[in-house]
Amino acid sequence: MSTDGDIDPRLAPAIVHRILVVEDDPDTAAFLKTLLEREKYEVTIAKDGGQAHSSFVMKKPDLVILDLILPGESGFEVCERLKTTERYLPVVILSAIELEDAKDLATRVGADAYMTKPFDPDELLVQIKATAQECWVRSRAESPGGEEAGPVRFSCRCGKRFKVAKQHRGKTLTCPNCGEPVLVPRHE
Amino acid sequence: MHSLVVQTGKHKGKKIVLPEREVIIGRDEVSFIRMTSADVSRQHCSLTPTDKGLLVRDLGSQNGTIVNNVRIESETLLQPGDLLQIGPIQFELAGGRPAKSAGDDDIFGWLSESDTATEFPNASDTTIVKASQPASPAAPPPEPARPKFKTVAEEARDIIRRHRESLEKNEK
Repeated sequence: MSTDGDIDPRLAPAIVHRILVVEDDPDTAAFLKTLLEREKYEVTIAKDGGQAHSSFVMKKPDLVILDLILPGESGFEVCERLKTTERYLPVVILSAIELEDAKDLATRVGADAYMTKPFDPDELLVQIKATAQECWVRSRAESPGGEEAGPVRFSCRCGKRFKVAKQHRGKTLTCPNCGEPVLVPRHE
Repeated sequence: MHSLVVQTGKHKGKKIVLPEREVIIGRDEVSFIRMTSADVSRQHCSLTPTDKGLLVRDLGSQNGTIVNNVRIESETLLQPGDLLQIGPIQFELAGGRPAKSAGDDDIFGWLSESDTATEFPNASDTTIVKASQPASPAAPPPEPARPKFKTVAEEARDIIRRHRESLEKNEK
């Protein structure tokens, strides 16, 4: 979840053409649409989780910008479902929630980046490119025959450490220490 | 209040009472009814109670959701007596509340093929315990201050609630 690292500015436009914006506030949605279309992205707006999933099926996006507070299903759940379907789909959270717990949960449900509102439009554009590249690199590295071969290492909240094979990303196991469910992170 | 009666396997006749909200059936931890069969997708289908019946929606599952022996292509309304097949298990939609409703653990126990280790068949380097196995006596207790959430939805609601409370506090 960072914008650090070398970004090839020619790479992202080759990956991201279509962006799905899941945002229930009409003003913010309109602003994002204008901003992104100016950058030659094709933009679809979804007002809630239902529209987001329909849009995802009908017109598969290359990247999703996702608000967290939505009518009905929250953005966290939308993200989890999208990532279950399409693991390497880049998801950028754009939310007014600044709580660390929100960022933590967003990471656990598979979000690739987290930005808080109000946001700098230029920063968002950079984040889109960075996130798209990160996901693309990860998909290449983790695909069969990829270079990344080690196990996934993560910890339960109680401190118990785990090491599991990569194919178990996104699955849930029961911590033998505290008995709580632990989600195997979808990515580092 | 809708309820499903298991029609197949060793749990035939068991009744599962559904809450008055949309629930997910699948292999995921977040599912209301968890089924560990490989024939069941992580989020296989959703069930939504309505005034006209129980609305079943397939969530893009690999093997489909079967209603009255026909794979559904769109949202389908279940009426009492209709059969719902998800992976290897068939349910019948019943009506009314049973004398004793089943707990989540019971439901998971019935529908698991063996235990949670089946979720990680090749994870030899992972420590897995059975769902019913108690934590080791030597294990430290979980952090008491941190609230426990069974689902992402629960945790999300708590986060959004705290966010709104902090906004209201700042406005005052």
